[in-house]
Amino acid sequence: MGSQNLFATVLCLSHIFILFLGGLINEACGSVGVVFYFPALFVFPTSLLLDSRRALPVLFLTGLAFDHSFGTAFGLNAIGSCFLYFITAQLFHSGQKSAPIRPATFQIACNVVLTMVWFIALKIGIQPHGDWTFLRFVLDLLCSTVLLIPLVHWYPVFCSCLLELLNTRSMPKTKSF
Amino acid sequence: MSWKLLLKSGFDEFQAPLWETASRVADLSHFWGHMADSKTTLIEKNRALSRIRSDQHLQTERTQELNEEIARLRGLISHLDSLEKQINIEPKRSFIPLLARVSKRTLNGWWQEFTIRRGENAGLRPGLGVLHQGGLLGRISKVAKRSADIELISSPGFRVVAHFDGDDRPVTFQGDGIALGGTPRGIVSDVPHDLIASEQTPLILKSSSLSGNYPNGLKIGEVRQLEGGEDGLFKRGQVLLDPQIGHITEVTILLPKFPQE
Repeated sequence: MGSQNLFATVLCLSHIFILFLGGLINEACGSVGVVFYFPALFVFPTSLLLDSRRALPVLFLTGLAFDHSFGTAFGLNAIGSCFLYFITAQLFHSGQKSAPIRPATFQIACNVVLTMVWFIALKIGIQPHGDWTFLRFVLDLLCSTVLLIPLVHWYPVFCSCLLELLNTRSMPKTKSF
Repeated sequence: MSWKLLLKSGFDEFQAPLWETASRVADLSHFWGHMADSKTTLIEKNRALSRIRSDQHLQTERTQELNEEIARLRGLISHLDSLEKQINIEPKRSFIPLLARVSKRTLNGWWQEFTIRRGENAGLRPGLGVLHQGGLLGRISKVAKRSADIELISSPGFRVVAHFDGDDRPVTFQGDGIALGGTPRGIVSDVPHDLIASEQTPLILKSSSLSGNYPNGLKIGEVRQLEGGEDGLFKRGQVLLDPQIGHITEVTILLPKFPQE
């Protein structure tokens, strides 16, 4: 039980660290008019490695950190990530031998959906002080998708390795005979 | 304070040290980068330094002349103050400049803001004006203990009264985001019909003291084309802002000299 909570905490911190690194990339890219927007990156590894009691709080917190970091409506990506978690759980954990969609394709599709939700939210005036022009939206979405392709393959493997490492460390030492 | 604000400020305080550390590491890497400069670079820098020194020498020689000018200007200011008191008008607002380093740049498509390394501890509060070497930069939108957010002039929510260089009539300036290629833009509206802008003779948009948070005459940007507005009475046009806005590392915050005003 304790190690499961530790896994959840480490995974949450890892998500926040990736957010910070993304922020650094955006700092450089933003000055040339492109933004890397990746809210769906964290859903798949979390749903894969944690049970629902721990995955949902982790995703909610990560979503809030994402909203805070990107200046999106506070809570939008937190709720969006939790909603996507249920779909992910249905698609990839329902005891089926093979999922109907590839994980990478699914994650990219989720990212496109969350990006479009934010674009529509801005257009209908959820945030009265912001505006995202259609041209910038298309460009940001394209660049984000291109950058996301290697990330959706790498990040779940990275999380698994991190938890494996923790698992090895937290195993009780046994005497060798 | 609502739970949402509490959570937001919690995230602010949690993430601020991380961004401050990143900014300090960047400063340190610049320092070490200069430490590793080659001989040729050092010679070039020394040459530039000697030019600055010779200029400084010339300026020092003018000290007496400048001191006299300062005394004359001070006399004029006190004369103006006494005139203002006599006719009972509110004196102009004066500001104290405060320098701050930028720790984070959030240049999203929907709005743009900077985070700086100074906050409530340095006496900052929302609404204060912020400048950079090229003119107006924005205003403080949110303040945490050791950091503060600046809403940039390119941000669509930024709206301020301005005027054109050589024309006192007020116009409205609003941010319009960052275009592809990194050019920050704005929109000027309520422009009188007799003003004409072209590529050869662009109009310079400057800040107005009517906005309250900025002194008069700070450069905002250039207008190269004006079109008839929707109402037919006034014109509107695109404002080209300083392209260096996205790369600024240091800003100046304008603290009011008399906060009680």
